[in-house]
Amino acid sequence: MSLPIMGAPDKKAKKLTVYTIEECVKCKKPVKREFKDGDLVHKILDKCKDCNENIMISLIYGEAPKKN
Amino acid sequence: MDLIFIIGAGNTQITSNPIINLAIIYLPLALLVLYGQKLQTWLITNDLSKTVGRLKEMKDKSREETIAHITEGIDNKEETIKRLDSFLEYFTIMPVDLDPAGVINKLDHIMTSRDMRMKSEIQQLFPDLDELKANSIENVIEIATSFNFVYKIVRHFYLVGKKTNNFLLLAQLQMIIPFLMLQADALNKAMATFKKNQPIGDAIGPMIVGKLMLEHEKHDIAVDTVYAESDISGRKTILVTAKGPAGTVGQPGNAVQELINKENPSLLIMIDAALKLEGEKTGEVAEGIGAAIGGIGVDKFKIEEAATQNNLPVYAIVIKQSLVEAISLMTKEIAESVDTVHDIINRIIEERTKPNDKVIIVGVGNTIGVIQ
Ligand SMILES: [Zn+2]
Repeated sequence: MSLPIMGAPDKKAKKLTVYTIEECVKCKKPVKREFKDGDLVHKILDKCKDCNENIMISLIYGEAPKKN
Repeated sequence: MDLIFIIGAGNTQITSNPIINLAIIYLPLALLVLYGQKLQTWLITNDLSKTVGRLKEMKDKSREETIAHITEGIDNKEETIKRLDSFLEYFTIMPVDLDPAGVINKLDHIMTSRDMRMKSEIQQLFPDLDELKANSIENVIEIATSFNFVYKIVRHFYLVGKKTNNFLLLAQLQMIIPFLMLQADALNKAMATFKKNQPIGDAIGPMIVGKLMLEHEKHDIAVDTVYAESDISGRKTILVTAKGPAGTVGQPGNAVQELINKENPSLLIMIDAALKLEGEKTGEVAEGIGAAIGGIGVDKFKIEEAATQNNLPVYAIVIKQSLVEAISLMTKEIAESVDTVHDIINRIIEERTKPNDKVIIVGVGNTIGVIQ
């Protein structure tokens, strides 16, 4: 019983691209870019151009690249 | 079709020549009756030998990758590789549970000494490493060790089945192989993620609570575990999670136990990743009751014990994901559940507590790649 609870193998698993979402803590405008080494969730990057608040990495996740 | 039709018609003759009939129908039938199982055993053995070979390839690759990762920029490569191979064979002996009273304490002791030993040996081996890299090495070695273990178990059953020509043993192994390969695949993907310090699916709990902890002062409370005080809707909120961004689950059991006894809260909310059932959507959020925490059971026991003694209700919020998703790179669906869970936390606190009450919120999971 305990083995099948893990689920079934996914045969068509796609390769994920890692993205980093940067967001200004005040104006909340998200910018999506590819992951760079050293990126960490909630890491403070530089200042926002518009309001001079901190820009923070809000999310890092993998997403299957969209078909063109 | 024609053949079956002719046989099924009750007329078991294909031609009028009895020798050809014997050769086509009765001889193969007799052979299959007598040697059918042998044939099947042979087929299964063949199939399994391919899978075991593939598993060995994957295991060797994980070892190579581990070596590449830990010897990065190190001169004394040979000594390090020798030590790594001994790490791969490390084992843990579980305490005897014939007399189960107190077995949790023994288990706790064994697991803690195991972690401490691993940490100190890595520190000895690489004295100049920063905490993040040292932790990454620890995790990668642990994954390679699991890989080694899965491979050895599969190989064991394969060889025993083959040597004793045991059809049933081989058939059982063939039945569970897809699940073991699933695990191997998960370990493979985990390795890649842990090497780069990217968040895994299991990090969603620490990520949700970690976001609430930003800009609040963090205090150490147990090994690799921190807490911070905050305010949600006029309630004093105590936020607990493992200390990131290194890959660790911390000791939520000890931390929560201490905080419950010290603060006497009126609600405990636990947030964790949970294994989804096939057909359920990844990233789905579900609410429930009880201590949402996995692992070997030590932390769960401590939290349940403290909650029961203090008559403290425990609310659980889980984010559904598969085994592979839980230990490899966090997917978009999981990451985007953060706001949903924050809304649920606010709602629970407003509905279930009164202003000036105290609430403990625990983000359970491996906090790799997540800063608080
Ligand atoms: Zn801004």
